Amino acid sequence: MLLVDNKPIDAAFLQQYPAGSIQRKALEIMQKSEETLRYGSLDELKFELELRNAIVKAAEDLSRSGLRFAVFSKSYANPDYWTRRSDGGFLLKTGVKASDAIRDIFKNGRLYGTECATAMPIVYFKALLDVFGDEAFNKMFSTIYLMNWRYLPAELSMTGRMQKTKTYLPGDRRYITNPDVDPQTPEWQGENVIDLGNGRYYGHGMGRRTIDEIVRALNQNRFAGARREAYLLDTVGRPDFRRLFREYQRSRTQQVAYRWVS
Amino acid sequence: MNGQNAGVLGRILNTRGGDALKRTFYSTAAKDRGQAAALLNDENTPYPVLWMLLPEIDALGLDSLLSPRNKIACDVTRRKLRKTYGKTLLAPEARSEEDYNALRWMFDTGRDWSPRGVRLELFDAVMDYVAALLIEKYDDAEVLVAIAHLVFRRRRQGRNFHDLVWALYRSADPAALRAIAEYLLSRDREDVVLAAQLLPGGDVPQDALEAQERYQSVLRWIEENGPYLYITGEHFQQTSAPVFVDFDEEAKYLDKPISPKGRTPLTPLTDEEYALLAQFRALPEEERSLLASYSCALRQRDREAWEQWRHLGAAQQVMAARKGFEVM
Repeated sequence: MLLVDNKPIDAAFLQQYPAGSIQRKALEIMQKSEETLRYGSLDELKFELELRNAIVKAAEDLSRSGLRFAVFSKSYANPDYWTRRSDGGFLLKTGVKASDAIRDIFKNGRLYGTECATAMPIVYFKALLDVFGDEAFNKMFSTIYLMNWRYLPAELSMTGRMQKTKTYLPGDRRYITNPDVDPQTPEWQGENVIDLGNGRYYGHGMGRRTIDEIVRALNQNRFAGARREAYLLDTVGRPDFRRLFREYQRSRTQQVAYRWVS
Repeated sequence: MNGQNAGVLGRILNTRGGDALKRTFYSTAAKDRGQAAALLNDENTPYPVLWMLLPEIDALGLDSLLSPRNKIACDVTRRKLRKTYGKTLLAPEARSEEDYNALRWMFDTGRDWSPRGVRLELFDAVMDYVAALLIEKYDDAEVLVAIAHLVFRRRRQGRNFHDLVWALYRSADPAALRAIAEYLLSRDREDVVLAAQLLPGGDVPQDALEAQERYQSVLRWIEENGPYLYITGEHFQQTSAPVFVDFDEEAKYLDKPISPKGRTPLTPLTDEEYALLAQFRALPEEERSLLASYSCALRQRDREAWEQWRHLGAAQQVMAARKGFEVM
């Protein structure tokens, strides 16, 4: 059940989103959910829907960007924007705008190679950039370190934490684990994916696939004699939408105030 | 890598560096391939020598002259570097003492070595692979503490340690957890942060007093839950707050040690234990936690009293546990 200010939403709100859109799909799942999903205002709900849509779009765009898969020991990045560190992560270069650096990954994907746990934060950063705009985004992220879930800024820390849910929505991060992975290839220990809302999931290095296709690929990289198959965990990773909504409101207010005084 | 007992080639690598090693080896091989192979096969030669000379070994076609140890080490290294997929040499059904000894030699003589430049990362990747094989396929508990220390050394040097952590947590050995816990007391704040992330409980101590408390509580946790620990499979590639190992409440309640990998009892359950488990599973989560903790506390304090308590019905067990904890 979906409640906004303790009331169900009216049909007109749903109708503003075209059938088949990510926002509409998410709303329909929320309304049918056996959980009670509460929002303080329609603006807060709209913000989450917009951000979810941006996450899906960023995932789709990253899958077409030419970004290659590379293990951390062989990762690489465009040196105009990023400094590759010896643990395989990418640090935003001093004097470079975070917005330009994130956009470059989507524009010049072939200049980048990394693991799936780095690709997921890239998706989130791009989604935030699209929703917040350059100015607010660059204020939020004066520095970025792209590596894996251990290195997340506070604004995105919740994307790294998996939580139990009964309501799976487009834009959710899921994880397919491979418990019997061959130690020779620990990069196949599991796959981080974004739910694209159409039965397909984006996983870096795999592209846009069904869960069964990803499970099959992981199973092929188990050690000989393995008994356990790869499987989809029932948990999800999500941004702290409420916190980001507050940030978003603050950034809009600041921009309006700035225009008034300038 | 011990400089005194490193053999001729190891001493050259230690004192004159990789380029001098390659020159010396190449000129020796040009005169006498057998002599060059003998230097490699010297039992004191450390693995980093083989690592440095692998391109020369390939170029000179020396494989057939290598000792079994060196052949295995070359094969493991090539597999990791060249990503030879498919059935691995070291499949679990094909355990061999020769393979194990070669892997231990690679790890023992290679773990403290740091090549320079980009090859450092490839060398680390091979060490990660060797560590994972020793733990996963050979259940080698002797290397765990050394691997725990290597994780922190790599962190201090800005090197990648995540696959090494993954390898380390293919086991749930209390000795490794204790070794990690020592870093809660480190003066290096980043050591404390990493140790807190790697251990159960998660919260990062804010000062020395909190660190000492956390250290003591982790040691108590390991002591209390050691026989019931299992590997969760979580890691930094999956979540920012992985719980690498946890304890099995049912095993703790029954006092039934489990296999960390399979999370299954080491000995079959008796009919009585099945019956106890059935009533335990029917309880709400909060009461199951209470009974698991109380069962463990009571049997450590008074085994006879525990035997009597476990034969009570579930409701009586819960009541006894609530009262019992008040007086403990």
